[in-house]
Amino acid sequence: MTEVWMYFFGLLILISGLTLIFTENLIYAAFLLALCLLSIAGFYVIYNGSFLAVIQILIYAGGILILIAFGIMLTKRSSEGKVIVGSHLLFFGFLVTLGIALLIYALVGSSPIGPQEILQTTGQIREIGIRFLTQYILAFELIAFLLLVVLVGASYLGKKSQHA
Amino acid sequence: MYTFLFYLPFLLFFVLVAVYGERKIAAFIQSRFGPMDVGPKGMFQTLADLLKMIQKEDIVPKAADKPIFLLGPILVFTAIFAGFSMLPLNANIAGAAVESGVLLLMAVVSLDVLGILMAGWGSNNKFSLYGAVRAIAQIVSFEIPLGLSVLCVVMICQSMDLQEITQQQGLYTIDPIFLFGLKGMDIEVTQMGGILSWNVVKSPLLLFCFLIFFIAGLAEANRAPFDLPESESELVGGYHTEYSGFRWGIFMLAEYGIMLLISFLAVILFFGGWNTPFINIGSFHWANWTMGSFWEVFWLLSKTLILVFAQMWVRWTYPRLRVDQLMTLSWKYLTPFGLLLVFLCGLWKLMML
Repeated sequence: MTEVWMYFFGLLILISGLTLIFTENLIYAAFLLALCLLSIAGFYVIYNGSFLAVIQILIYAGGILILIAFGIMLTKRSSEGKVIVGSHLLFFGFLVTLGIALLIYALVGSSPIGPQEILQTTGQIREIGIRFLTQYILAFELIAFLLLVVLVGASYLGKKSQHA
Repeated sequence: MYTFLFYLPFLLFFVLVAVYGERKIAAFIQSRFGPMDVGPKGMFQTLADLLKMIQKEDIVPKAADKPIFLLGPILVFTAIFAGFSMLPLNANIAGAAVESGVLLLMAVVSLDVLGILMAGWGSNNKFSLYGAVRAIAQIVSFEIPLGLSVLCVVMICQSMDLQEITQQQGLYTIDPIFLFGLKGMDIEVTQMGGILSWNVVKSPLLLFCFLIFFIAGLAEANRAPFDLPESESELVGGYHTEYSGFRWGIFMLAEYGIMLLISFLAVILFFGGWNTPFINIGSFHWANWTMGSFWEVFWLLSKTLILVFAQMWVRWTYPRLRVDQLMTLSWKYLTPFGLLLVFLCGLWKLMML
């Protein structure tokens, strides 16, 4: 059963990802990105990371995507009423994609990850919380500090453009 | 796991009654009669409206972006109804067994923004787009105070599972409950149950959290006094201006659905969920007598409907806010107070241990 779901979500990711790249309509691309991100959340559930799946929906599908969509809505439409994108920098794009593909291939080859029956459904959050405040506290605090800096910076930029 | 078999028919029936109820309540508040003609006291008015709505032509504007336009309302309702899957019904029937239940609920419900965006953008209408932009700005900003008030409850309960949070607020609790949660006072009320073990009494600070939750919930549901996205006097109908017939009906269904969902969530988080309000006093075991499968469903639903009534009451009492006032309320008042409450609830939790 798990494998059926894996192929289902995998196919969904593949189709939405490819259409997202080849469509010229920018707003379609944004919504296809939402589908792609949600399918990845499904993958996390199969790989026994249900908390990560929730966070994926909350942060990426619910948060970042809204920002992207907002950005698109504030751009100017063309005379046909659609936001059209073209393809640029094909060479460098191809290069970066190849690099990432090789990296993923190397990672997948060296680690034993794979779909599995859900082993443990409770206690994940507690475990994550304890790890964050003991083992990984430095990284956790640094990220918190980075976010604070970003917040202050964003409000400073917002204020500056208001007075100009 | 099969709670949707109850919640889906209940939601549809609720919308039928709530539309009539809302019009009657509005009429009462404004000293009018409301619907009068169809059936006794106008009771079948909603059915008649529904019949008319289904018969209407399904119009897609020529310049609209068709696939997005058609998908919008469906996505809005799906996102909101998905939130119902996490709700428990009584002590035996829990919702989806997700450890991070309340977090997933908020994450899924926040996806309705995508549907609103599709509707507003796909309509190819300036009023719709303005409505959608306002709705999204409002939902995204009010999610922060909403999340902070939920965080207070999660800190007090040490759990995100809605069934577990409810269990802690009544006779089925595992940990002992002290009056106002203060262990130092040493008055144990575990066996008394009832209202004394609800979260708002167990840690009285949560009453303020509930106020924030209620206000942010109203904004989340796009209801007056925060119904800027569809303010008739400025934007015709907001993001659903171009929709007709049943597609418009789905938006209405979603609006009443999220009202109901927010009320359910408030009852579960703050007012004991399916637990009875009565207390065991001496030989009168009021709490034990009013618990049981049927009673628990009854308490959950009745408390929720009272909150829905309060939402309607607010809608017809307060005038609509301006956009800048709305943002001021969210960012300058509710969010700082929410942060303060998270801190204070942390201190209260230390006294409860």
